[in-house]
Amino acid sequence: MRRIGLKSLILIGVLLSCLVLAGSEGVFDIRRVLALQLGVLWMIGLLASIMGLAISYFLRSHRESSHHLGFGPYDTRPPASQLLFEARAYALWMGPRDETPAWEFNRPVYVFTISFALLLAGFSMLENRSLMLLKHFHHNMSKDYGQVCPEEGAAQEEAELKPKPEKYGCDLVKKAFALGYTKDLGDCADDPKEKTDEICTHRQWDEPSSHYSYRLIEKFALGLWDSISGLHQSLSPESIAKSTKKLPELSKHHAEGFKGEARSSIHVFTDLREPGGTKEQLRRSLHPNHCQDELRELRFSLAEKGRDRSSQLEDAIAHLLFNPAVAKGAEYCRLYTIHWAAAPSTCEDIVAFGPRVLASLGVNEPVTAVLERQRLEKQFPPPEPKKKAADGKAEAEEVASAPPAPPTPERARISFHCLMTREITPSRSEVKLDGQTFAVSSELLPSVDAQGLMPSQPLMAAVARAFIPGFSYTNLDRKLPFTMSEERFQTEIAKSGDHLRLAKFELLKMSDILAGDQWVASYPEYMEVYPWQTHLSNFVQKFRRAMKREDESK
Amino acid sequence: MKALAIFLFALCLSTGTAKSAEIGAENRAQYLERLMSSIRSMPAAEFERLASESQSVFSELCRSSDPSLALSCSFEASEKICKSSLDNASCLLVMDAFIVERLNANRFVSVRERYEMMSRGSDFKARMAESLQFRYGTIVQAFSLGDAASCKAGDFTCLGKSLEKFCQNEAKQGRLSYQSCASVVALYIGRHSQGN
Repeated sequence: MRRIGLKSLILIGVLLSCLVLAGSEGVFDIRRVLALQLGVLWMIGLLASIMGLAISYFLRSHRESSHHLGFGPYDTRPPASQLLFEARAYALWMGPRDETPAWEFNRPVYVFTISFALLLAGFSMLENRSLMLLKHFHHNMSKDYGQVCPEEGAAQEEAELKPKPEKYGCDLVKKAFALGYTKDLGDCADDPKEKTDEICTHRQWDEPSSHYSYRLIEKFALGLWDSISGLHQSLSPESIAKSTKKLPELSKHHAEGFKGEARSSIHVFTDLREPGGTKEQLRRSLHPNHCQDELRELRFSLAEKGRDRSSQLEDAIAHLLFNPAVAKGAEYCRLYTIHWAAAPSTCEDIVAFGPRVLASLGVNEPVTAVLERQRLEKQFPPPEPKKKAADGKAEAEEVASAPPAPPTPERARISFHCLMTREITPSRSEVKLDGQTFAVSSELLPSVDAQGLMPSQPLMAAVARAFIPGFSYTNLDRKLPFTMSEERFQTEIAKSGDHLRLAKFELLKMSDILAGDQWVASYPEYMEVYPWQTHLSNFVQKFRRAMKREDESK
Repeated sequence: MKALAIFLFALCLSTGTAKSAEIGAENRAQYLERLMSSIRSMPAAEFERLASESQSVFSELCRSSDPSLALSCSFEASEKICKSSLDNASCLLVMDAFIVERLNANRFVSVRERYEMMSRGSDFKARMAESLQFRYGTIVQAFSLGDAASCKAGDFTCLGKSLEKFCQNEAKQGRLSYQSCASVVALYIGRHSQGN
C-alpha cells in the first residue's frame, strides 16, 4: 500500500507544470538566463525565496496533509475513502488523514521545491523589461489618460479673454434688429446651446484618481445594467423570431465572403480536346489552382507550340486575359473555365434552352453560386461609411482610413463564349437567367496552315472578338507608326551578306504579325527570335482597354 | 490509308520543323562564338575606334525617327567603316554588336533616369555609361550563373551555345529582345573575360 499526502502531490504537480512551462519558454537555454540583467536575476531569486517561504508557512509544511492519495490492494482501502479507480484486486483512492501516515516532503525539501518551482516560473515570465515596468509602476498607474475639466473660473476667464468670433454677415442683421427693421435675428441669434452651463463629466482638475476611477466604474456598471434591461426586453420570443429570421441567409452571406466565393463565372467552350496527356489532365483536375502555376510558366511563343491547337488557344486566352506581365488589368484566371471537347452547337443550345441546358454542360453550380451571392449582396449591402463621426477624433480617423466597400454591381458577371473550329457562324446573343440577361458569343477559330498551326493573328483576333464583339487590331494600332513591307525586309536582310545578323533581327520590331504582317511567319530563322513581347503587349493593352470600357458600360 | 498518309505527312513536318529550329539555333550559336572571339582578338585601339564610330552612326550619320531607316543606314555605314579595317569580317561582327547595343541602350535606362542624369550636370555621357555598365553587369552575371558556369572563360564554342540558350529564354520571358541580350553579353564577355 502506498500513500502520498495531498500537499506533496499538488507540489509535485506544480513543479512538473513549472518544468514544462520553463521548457517551452526556453529557460533551460543558458543564453537566455545569461542575457538577463543582474537586477532581474536578483529580483527573481528574491521573489522566489520569499514567496517559497511564505507559501510553505501558510500551507503549514510542518504538518501532514488533511487528505492523501492511496494505491494498494482493495482490502487495505480505508472505509471513509473515496474510490477513484479499481482494477482487479487493486484500487486508487482519496481518503482523509488517519492513523497510517502518508508520505510527505520533509520541510526543507518542501521549501526548496516550492522556491525552485517559483524560480522556474520567474525565469519563464520575467525579462529585462519587467524590471523597468516595475520601476515605473507608480508613474504608469497615476498617469492621466483622460480629459480634465478646466479649473473653476479659468474657463470663464478664458472665454472673456478670447471673444467669440463674429458670424459672417451678422453685423447688418443685428443693426437692423436694433433699429426695429426686423423682429427675428435668425441664424445670427446666439446659439442657445452655448448659453446652457453644461456639466463637465470628465475628471475634475482636483479630483483624486481613486474617486475618478470609482465614477468610471459606476458609469460602466449603470451602462451595463441599462444594456441588460434592454436585452431583457428584446428577448421576447416575437422579437427573437423577428430579428433572427434572416440569420441563416446572413450567415451564408458572411460565409461566402470568408470563403472568397466568386462573383463572376465566365465559361469558354471549345470543340478542341484538352491539351496535354492523361497525366497532365489528371494533375489539372486534382490541382484547383493550376491556372496560376501555369501562368507563371507562360512564355511569349504563340506560334511555337507545335501542332497542339489546344495549347495555342490556351496560350492566346492566357496572354489576352490573365498575363500580368503584358499589360495592366489582368483578370483572375480562376473565374474563367475552359470547357474542352464541347459540342459545336453549345452556344446555340444555351440561347435556345437557357437554364435547362446549363446543368448538362456542368456550369449550373458555379452560375447559381454567383447569382446567389449577388442576391445576398443586394439583400445585405455593406454599411455606408459614416460622413461624420458621432464622437471622438479616433472614430473619425478610423472611418477615414477604412477602404470603401466595393459597390454591388447591378448585374452578375456571367458570360458564355464559344470558340469552335467548325460548324458555327460568329454570333452574339443573350440568355436570361434569374431575371438578368447574359452575353453568349460564338466565334470561329482559324483553320490551320501548312505547318498545322493556327496563324497567330487570326487566332488572337478570334479570341478577342469572342469577348469584345467587333474588336479589331489594325495597322493603325501598331506600336511603332512605321510599317515594313516584305520586299523592303528582303532588301534589308540581303545587305552585307551573312554579316550584321543581330542588327537585322532589329527589323522584326517594325513587323507586327498581329497587325497583319503575317509574311514574317515565312522566315522561320527570324520567327525563332521574333520579339513577341513588343507586339503582343500592344495588342493585349488595346483588348483590355476595350474590355474595361465594355464592363463599365454594362 | 488516308489517315496514315496524313499522320506520316504531319510527322515529316514536325521532324522537319524541329530540325530546322535546331539548325537555326546552331547557326546563331556559331555566330555568337565568332562574335565573342572577334571581340577578344581585336586590338584595343581598333575596338575603341569602332565603339566611337558606332556612337556617331546613330547620333549623327544615321539619325532618324524611323528606326528602319536608321538601321538601313547603319548597315551601309558599317560596311564603309569596316572597309578600312584589316580584318573586315571581324570588324562587321563587332559593329553588329555595337549597332544593336547602341540602338537598345535607352531601353535599359528609363526616361526619368535619363532626365535626372541630364539635369544633374554636363557629365551625362559618363553617367549613362556607368548606369549601363551596371545593368549590363547584372545580365552578364545572370548568364554566368546559368549554363555558362560550366564553360571555361576562353571556350567561346561553349559560351556561344550557352549564350544562344540564355538569350532565347530571356526573349521568351519578355525581359529582353534576343539580339539585345546577345550583343550586351557578347561585348562584355569578349572584352572582360580572362584566362582559359
